[in-house]
Amino acid sequence: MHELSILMGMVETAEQYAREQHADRITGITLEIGEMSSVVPEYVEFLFPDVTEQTMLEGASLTIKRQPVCVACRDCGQVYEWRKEKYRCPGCGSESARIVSGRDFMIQSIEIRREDGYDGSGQDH
Amino acid sequence: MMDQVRIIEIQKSVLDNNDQEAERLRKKLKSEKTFLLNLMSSPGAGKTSCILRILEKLKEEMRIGVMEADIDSSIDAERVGRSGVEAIQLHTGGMCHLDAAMTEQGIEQLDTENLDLVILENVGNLVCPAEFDTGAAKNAMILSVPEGDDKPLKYPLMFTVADLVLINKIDCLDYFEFDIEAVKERIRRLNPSAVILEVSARTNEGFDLVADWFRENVKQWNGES
Repeated sequence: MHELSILMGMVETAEQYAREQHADRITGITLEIGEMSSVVPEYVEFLFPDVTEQTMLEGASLTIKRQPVCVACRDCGQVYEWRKEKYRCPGCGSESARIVSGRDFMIQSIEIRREDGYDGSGQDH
Repeated sequence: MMDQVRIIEIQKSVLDNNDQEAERLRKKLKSEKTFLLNLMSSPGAGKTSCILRILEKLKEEMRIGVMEADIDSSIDAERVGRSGVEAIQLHTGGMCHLDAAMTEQGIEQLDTENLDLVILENVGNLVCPAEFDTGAAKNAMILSVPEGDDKPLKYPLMFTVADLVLINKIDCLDYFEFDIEAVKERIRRLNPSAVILEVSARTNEGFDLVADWFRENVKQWNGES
């Protein structure tokens, strides 16, 4: 059970990016969670309101995308979705593979809001 | 005046901070010529018993410290401490794994400048510890015979990150349906460079080769510029 500490890291990272953009609030966040990451999306949803309370993310909408586990075949080099292909290279039939994606817990994007006149160019007027 | 909303793409891993911290710790230990081994397994696979066997082989020829991470209790550190090697207990307070920051807190309690080898006994768990870089020079994991030969299929990440795999409790092979060749093949498919050694902490079988692995790796780590 480590979703709580990981989510605190998420808040920190998102706030840092939002501040760089002089935003007042973060109104939405999209996370990408790898299927081989031990982060459980249901817990993330459950903990999100409490973890974001009194932060720039308070009240933000949460979108979670799953990232499938992709591997590269060690024999022929083909990259394929591991589970979908039943753990066997669709090209050559080899079961020897190196994980290339599906381990991540990423912030894909944030939606930020600035409450004065602001054209989104990054320039203050 | 009106609200302005826009979306910014970040594409940043939340675990990046830990990875950076781990890299920093690894460099620091490298400069101090201290080899940190992160030892992982499920609960009851024999981490502490294997550590005691390794200490028996190596404690006269190198300076060793041990960090025991558990959710609670200090029974492991007491067991190791009785062997005459400096051992400290880290309490993770419910956390299922150690991250680089917690590892560093433990490292600070040991006088690592005067140690050649530190063994970190991670929390017993095959899932989360595999995901968090502790800053160790190498990762080792123990799979014990009673756990079954299907573990590499169920916990692929653990077997992917392990540089050394010890198959422990081989004195029990007759009592379990455990296909040792199948297990090795499953590990090699995930991680062809892993060193796989068969041991029994109860009978002391196989620990000469384990000690050789440590000698070679400590030497390499401390010798490289």
